[in-house]
Amino acid sequence: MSLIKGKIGGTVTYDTKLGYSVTRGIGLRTAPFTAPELENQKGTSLVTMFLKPVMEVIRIGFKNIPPGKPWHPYNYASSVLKLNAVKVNGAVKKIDYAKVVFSIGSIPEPKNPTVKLLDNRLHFGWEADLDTDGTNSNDRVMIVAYFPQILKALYLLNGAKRTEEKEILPLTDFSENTVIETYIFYVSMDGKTLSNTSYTGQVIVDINT
Amino acid sequence: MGKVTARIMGNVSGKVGTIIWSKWKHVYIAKGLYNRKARKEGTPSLPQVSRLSLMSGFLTKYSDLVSVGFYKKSNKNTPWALAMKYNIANAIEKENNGYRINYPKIKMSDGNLEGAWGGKILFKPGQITISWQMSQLSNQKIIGKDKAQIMLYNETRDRVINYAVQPERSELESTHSTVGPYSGDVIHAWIFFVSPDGKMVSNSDYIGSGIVIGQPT
Repeated sequence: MSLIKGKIGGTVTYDTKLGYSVTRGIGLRTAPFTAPELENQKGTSLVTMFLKPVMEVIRIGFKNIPPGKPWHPYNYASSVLKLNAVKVNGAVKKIDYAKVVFSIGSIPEPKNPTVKLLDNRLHFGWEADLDTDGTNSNDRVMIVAYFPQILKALYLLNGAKRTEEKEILPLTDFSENTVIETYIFYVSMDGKTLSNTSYTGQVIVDINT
Repeated sequence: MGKVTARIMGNVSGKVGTIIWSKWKHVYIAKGLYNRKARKEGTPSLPQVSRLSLMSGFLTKYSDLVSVGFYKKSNKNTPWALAMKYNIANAIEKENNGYRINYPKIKMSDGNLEGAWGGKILFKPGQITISWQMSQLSNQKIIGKDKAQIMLYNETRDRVINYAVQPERSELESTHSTVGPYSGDVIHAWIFFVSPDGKMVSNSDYIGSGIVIGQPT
């Protein structure tokens, strides 16, 4: 923590949330952004919009990030997502939902996860897989259902135990056909260890059926 | 532009000689007289001027709600400026001879509170019913007390339908009586939620549009 805070001449000094202080120059950019900078900004804006509805999930999923670096869950998640899940298709940038991750950790990923839509509920299934190293019968699943068209998410932070091998996520009604991207991962009983995220696929709610 | 700290002239507002006195974000300011408009009267508007006037004309009708919905404590921009910036960039479409507002894309508020799920608008003779749902996964005891801000807009007559009622989120629906000769008019509806302490808002959701059914005589 610094003893000085505030503006001195052309510099400003402040404490960050990560426990160290920063002194930086004050500058106002007048030059227009270059084309690569604008492209980079598009990617950042996509990732920011994507992460907003799942902040609560990110805070848990990325709690075990590498120590000793200026990381916190949000900027780590944003970095991982931008590097891996932003797909460039010609001039358009899009999120590749299959590559999105909401958690990192040492517990093995859910084995053979499945999802089905029945009676406006998402039925998730997986194999307990208790023989693999690093698994524990008390692990619980966390489930995320992301709605890319409306940029909203439904999630279950404390789902069924690994041994139960199924969990249900109730949905609300929809007035138009809706795409849902689904994800599942484990969290240990004490909440300290997690698994990497498994993408369980895309589900489409068809209001005509 | 100068900040006026000692108001020797009292609460003066407007043009005095070559100085304009005004109030901006609770600060009294004085600024020099503006230059004369370079463009002659009667020349066609520039595209950005058309978009600006189109959107400001619409949002002015909801300026009181926009000031709640886009209020950011740490942002130096005013709620109005933020609302205009977002909606001009996202909710205006090009038409043959000019621009039109894309009503489903209008955003009246921006925040982190949970939005409305499954919003629906239902028209009955003399009545408009707005309904929404709460997710079973949400903490319904906490978010159930949020106040719903409902906005109804009569596109046919370019008029706001006053919606003074603020139902709680847990009520899940709200009904408005359509008084007046509005039969056949096209109505658009939006909703957003405000926490009971007024400090948090949700993103606004477009509920839908429809045609008013007149009351049987």
